[in-house]
Amino acid sequence: MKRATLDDTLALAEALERIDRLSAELPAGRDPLRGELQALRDRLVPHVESAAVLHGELASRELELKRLEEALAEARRRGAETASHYVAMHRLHGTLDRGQVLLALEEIVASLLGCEEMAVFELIGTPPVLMPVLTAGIAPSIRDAIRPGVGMIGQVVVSGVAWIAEGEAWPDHDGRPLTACVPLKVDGAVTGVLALYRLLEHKGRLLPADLELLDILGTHAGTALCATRLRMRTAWSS
Amino acid sequence: MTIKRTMNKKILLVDHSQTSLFLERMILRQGPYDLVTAADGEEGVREALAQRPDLILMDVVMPRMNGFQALRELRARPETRQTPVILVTTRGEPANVEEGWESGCSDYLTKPIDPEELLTKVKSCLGA
Repeated sequence: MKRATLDDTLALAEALERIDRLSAELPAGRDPLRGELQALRDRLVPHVESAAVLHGELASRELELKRLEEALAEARRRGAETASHYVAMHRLHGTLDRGQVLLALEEIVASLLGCEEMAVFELIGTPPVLMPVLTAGIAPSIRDAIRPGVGMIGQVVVSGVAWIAEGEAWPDHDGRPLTACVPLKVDGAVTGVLALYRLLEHKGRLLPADLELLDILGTHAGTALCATRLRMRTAWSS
Repeated sequence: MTIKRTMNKKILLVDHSQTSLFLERMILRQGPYDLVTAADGEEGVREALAQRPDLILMDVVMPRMNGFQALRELRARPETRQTPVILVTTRGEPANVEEGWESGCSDYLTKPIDPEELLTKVKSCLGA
């Protein structure tokens, strides 16, 4: 069966107008023809009305379809983000081996965030200073300790609040271009910092989903690294 | 009576990053695919010859044998010459993309992986 379209609806409406016009233009004495036109009109009117209703329903369905397509796209986007978060947490908490946790963190930052230049610092000693425990993609490797409050990395430790470059990477106190700096926390206390330097060229910038993942890393990487330290202490003492 | 049997397509995932393999497995698990993995290019070539997959997803930066070398090795062998290979890599620079095509890849995908893009390219390569 042929599917009714907007063109069909318009054609029916035009036919109705034409019948009305012909009927009005008929000279006197053509009553039988006028009667036939009226009969034709009577048959046509329900079809015109029905087509108009169907057309309205079609427009409503099309609107609903568009809304569902948008909802599906949003669900897929959230699904992809959740998958990424799940993978990150599974990798970080899948081991108590310190080397494996740091490797997982490096892989997460590279594969899920698109950054191959990064460093992880932990607060060590009394008074505590930030010591690099992992560096990747930056040469020469960072070796110097950073005092809390010095440079963006040091400030993030003091404030406990993540810093994200608004535009391009921003040079930190040592001149390295910094894109993001996230405090690592355990029970709300800062234990270190995850620093992201330049992103991959094709990555361009951090997206809202990346910021969510960084937030998760701040808590879960901090906890995972803390767990490895506790494990090492336990191993030494036993 | 005819019994219709549907066979899952087999995909070989080659990547030294456990994180990337994990994510790829999560994404592709949604489809009718059997997944096998390898941790570097050398193992990837070995698994490709042993498993005869319908499609290979290959990282580029890997220990022992990188993705370009592994791809050239696969293209040189009659058993795997026609197997579609999608390079999945952080290396998105034009020179690397060009080397990928010259090595004989069927498609090129940059990390971070976009799940929709990966599924679309996989379906396209498998003709499904």
